[in-house]
Amino acid sequence: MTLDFLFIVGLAGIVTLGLKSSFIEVQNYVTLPLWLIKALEFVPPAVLCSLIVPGIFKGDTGLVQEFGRVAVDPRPIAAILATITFFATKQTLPTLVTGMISLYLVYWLQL
Amino acid sequence: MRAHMRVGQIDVGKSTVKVGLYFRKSIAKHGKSLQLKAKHLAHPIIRNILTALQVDSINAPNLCVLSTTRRYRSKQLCRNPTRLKTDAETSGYLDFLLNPLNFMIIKISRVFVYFLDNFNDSRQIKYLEWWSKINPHSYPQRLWVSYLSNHYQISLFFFNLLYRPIMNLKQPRQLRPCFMQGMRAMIPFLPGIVPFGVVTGFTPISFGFTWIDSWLGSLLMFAGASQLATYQLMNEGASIWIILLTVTAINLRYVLYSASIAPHLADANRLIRFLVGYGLSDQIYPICHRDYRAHEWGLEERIAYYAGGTLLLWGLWQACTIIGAFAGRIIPVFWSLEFMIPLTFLTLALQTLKTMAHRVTAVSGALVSFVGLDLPYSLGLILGAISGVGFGVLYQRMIR
Repeated sequence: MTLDFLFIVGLAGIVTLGLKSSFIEVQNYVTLPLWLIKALEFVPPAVLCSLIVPGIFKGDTGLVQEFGRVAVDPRPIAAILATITFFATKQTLPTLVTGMISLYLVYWLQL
Repeated sequence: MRAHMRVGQIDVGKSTVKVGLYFRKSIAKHGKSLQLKAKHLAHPIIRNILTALQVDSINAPNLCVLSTTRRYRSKQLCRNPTRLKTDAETSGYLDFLLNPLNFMIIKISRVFVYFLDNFNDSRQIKYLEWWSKINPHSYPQRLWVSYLSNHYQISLFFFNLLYRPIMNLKQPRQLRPCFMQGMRAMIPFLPGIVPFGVVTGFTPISFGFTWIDSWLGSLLMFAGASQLATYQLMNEGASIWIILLTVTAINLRYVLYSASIAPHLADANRLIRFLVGYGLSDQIYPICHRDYRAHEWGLEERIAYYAGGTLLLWGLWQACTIIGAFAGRIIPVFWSLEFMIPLTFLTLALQTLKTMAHRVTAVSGALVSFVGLDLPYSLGLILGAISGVGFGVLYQRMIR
């Protein structure tokens, strides 16, 4: 571990902390404008959906890395099945289980 | 944090921060004085206070204003309007925010209206009861009275003596359940976190870093994707500016989280605020956003909930990165456990789709993120998030 390394990682840590606690600190001194407060209502669906997309469409699954490529990527199908399960059950655990099992199944069916 | 307000005149104390902001403006505007008028006092919230105090008529010259505890802040008033909503006339908190005068009342929300004459013990009991109703796990700590006679201050002292223990006995703080609830809410994320953490710990080793280097990233940054990016860029010999820009781009979504969660936690003290900022993650934010709205928690409960979830995640993350650094990929790749991460986000995202505007937000965010999938520095993600929020707001404007 060199000083250079510490410097870079430390700075990256400070940048991360700054971004993370930006508004938590600022909120005490500045009042957010109304349109922003209204807009924050939509942060969770927007961020979560844009986090999901790379997880489903980017890179390869572990299955593909281990056993080779198949015709159709199993992840979008698994995600759709998980969505259907969620709307049927409204619970987290069945959704996760369905998602994983359908991922394995869809991959296995194409082998 | 003392600001006081007397009849027709506002004095701003030395250490005023939030209060001072507005007051300074209003002083400039109104020339050092601000008259409280009957129409101001007709506001639903003030009316609620007056009703709670059993006051029927408003007699402005007798008005006195008490500044109370620091914990009780404006956001609790506007975030949880139900606490004060006793009748139908109190509409949503956004309407409440819109009126500039109400805004002043929010700014001085530590302030309660009293009447100087007949300010007797029974009225104080009323006040304390009312307080305990709207803010069940706290009590008026510091009643700062600018204009009360000694008699009232003394009686206030005895009241605090008498009532603090009683109120605490009646409603003990239930922090442990909140802590446990936070932990339980975090559990669905853990299967996805473990392989991700192990890979994050292992990747720097494969670049020739030591395990301490690998762990230091986890400790200082506590943000998986940007840790990986940092080590990757360092390995490629990128300049420090490129690294910092990449980290900023990848972590830009935390600004959104921070802004969204700040009203619930910004009243905490400096250390807690620091820890909250440090521990903010993709996992804790949505569950907090969901559960803070579902429960009427005070600040302590919210912090306990946050601490429960974050401590579990943080501990596991640190452990996983260290294990990954030593043991490499101990979890077989073909298990594809990393797919659990988008799946857990998927369940949370589906839970948020309550109105049509939310659905529009979700779909447009996902589409933009999909289009920008190949953009560098995870820019597609932040673009998707921001445009999703934008589309949601636009849609809401349109249907109005």
